[in-house]
This record gives sequence, C-alpha cells and structure tokens, in this order.
Amino acid sequence: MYIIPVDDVETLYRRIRHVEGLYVVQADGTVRVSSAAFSDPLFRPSVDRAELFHNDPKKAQRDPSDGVVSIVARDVRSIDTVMQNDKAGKIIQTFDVDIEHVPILNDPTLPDNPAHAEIYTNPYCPNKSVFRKLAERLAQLANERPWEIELISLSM
Amino acid sequence: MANGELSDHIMASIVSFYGSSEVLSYSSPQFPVDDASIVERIVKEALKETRTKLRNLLTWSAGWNGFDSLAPNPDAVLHAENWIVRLFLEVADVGLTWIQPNVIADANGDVVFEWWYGKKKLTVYIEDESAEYVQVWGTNIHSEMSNGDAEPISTCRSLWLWLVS
Repeated sequence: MYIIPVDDVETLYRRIRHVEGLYVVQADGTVRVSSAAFSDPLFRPSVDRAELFHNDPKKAQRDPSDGVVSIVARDVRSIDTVMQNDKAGKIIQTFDVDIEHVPILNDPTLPDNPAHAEIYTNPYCPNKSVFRKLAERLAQLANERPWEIELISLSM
Repeated sequence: MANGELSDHIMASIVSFYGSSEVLSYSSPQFPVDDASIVERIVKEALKETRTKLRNLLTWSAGWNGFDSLAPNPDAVLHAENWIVRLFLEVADVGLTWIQPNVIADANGDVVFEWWYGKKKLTVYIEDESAEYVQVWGTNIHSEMSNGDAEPISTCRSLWLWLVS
C-alpha cells in the first residue's frame, strides 16, 4: 500500500466513542469534546483522512454509536508553539506538529484502514506534560468545527 | 428532635435551597468547625456524582476509548478521590462556588478532571502518586497555556481562584 503525503487542505476525522466524559453537553445544548479524546499512550493520536474515505465520516466509525469530529491538516501543522521548558521556565526544545499517513493493513488485531494517519511531533514528544497541552489545542480545533457525526441519544 | 435528625434536616434544607454545588459556601457559619461528621456528609453529598463517575472508571477495560488506551489505573482513581475532596474543602474554605468537574480517564490510564468557566479551562491529570494541571486561556500553547504540579494545596487554591475569577 502506498504512503500518500497528507495535504494541508485535507480534513482529518477523529472517532469519539459514546463514553460520557469524552464529551460534555453544555448548557446551550452544544457538545464539547474533551482534551482526553485526543490522548494517546504513544503521543501519536490516530485520525482518518477524509479524502481517502471519500469524505464519508461514517467510514471512521467502528460502532454506529460513535461520534466523529474533524480537524484540518493545515491547522494541525500551524501549531508552532509546542515547547518543552526546564524547571526555571526556559525553553529547551520546540516541536513541529505534523501528520503521517500510516495505513493499517493485515494487522493481527486491527481492521484494515487505508485512511489511517497519526498526528505526531518532531522531535518525538518526550513526556506527558508536553503532549497534554498539544491535546488541549487539538480539542480546541475540533470544537471550532461542527461534528461530522453527532453522538446519538445524548443525555443533558 | 435528636441531634442526628436535626443534622439531616439542616443538610436537606441547605442542599435543596442552594444546590449541592454551593453548600460549602454557606456551611461555615452553619456548623461548628469541629463537627467532622457533618462536614463529611456534606462532602459526600456534594461529590456523590463525581465519586460515582470515578468508581465507574474502574469497570473500563483497555481500549475503552476505541483506540489503544490503557484501562484506568485503580491507584490513580483512589488518588483522584482523595484529591477532589481536598480541592472541594479548599474551595469551601475560601467561600467560593463549587463547579462539578467533567470526569474521564486518558489513554495512559490517568484520571482527568476538567472544568470550563467562560474562556478559561482547567484540566487536572491524576496519576497514582502525582497530579498535574493544565490551565488554558487561549489558543497559543506557549503563552496561553500553563502546566505544573497540582498536588500542593496552595496551588489548588490559586488554580480555583484563577478559574472562577
């Protein structure tokens, strides 16, 4: 399978399981996604490339109850303020944020997914503290856009 | 009326009038400082929903988020229960309004509390032996987000003052 570079204009889907806490229903009825929805143990949150799913967010669902949010590749790459500070607050490292196409094929546990991609930092994110702020920004970007597929049967 | 019944009556009245989120704001003049059992009951009532959500985390398996997340760490959940009580009491001590947190885990098995207040957001990650906060007041990670150790009680107080001010 070919690795196809991710273009700036591409939309990226992120699946949100229907698990209370991954989203918050606000007083006005809008639904906000938690920064925890972008957490990843290897600091490389998975997304699906809309273009390779023919812009059909349903293809990003694993379960019909899953919601789907989206972000734009350019906005992700525009995050240029990920930094690591020392204890005195001095900047010791800055990080670029990018998206890598990582198609899944013949994995022993995961279903094939030619649209799979991962958000990552360069250099590699060194710890949770650095990644947690990136997760906040990714959630902000998702919350600036309408849900591609809203979660069904949300309790207020 | 027996002391126990009187306490129940006062508790029920206050909770129904102010709502559990504000009980502690009004509790100081109502109860003797040394009446630990009444304070404990107020804490239990105000944090009932939060503690239920925390205990629910213990039923989640690895992969609960639909990706490769770890199961919530039981030691982190226990730590989170203690931490949120400390924060609640601190908020009550300074007479500020309590806001119920969003409760979730992250992919590492840590517990996550989140609060939103206007354009400000406070996220606290609880691990088995540590707690870290992330303050957010804008989109610039470097200049409008801040993080640090959320264990010291003085920090908890400052964070809450910042959030609700």
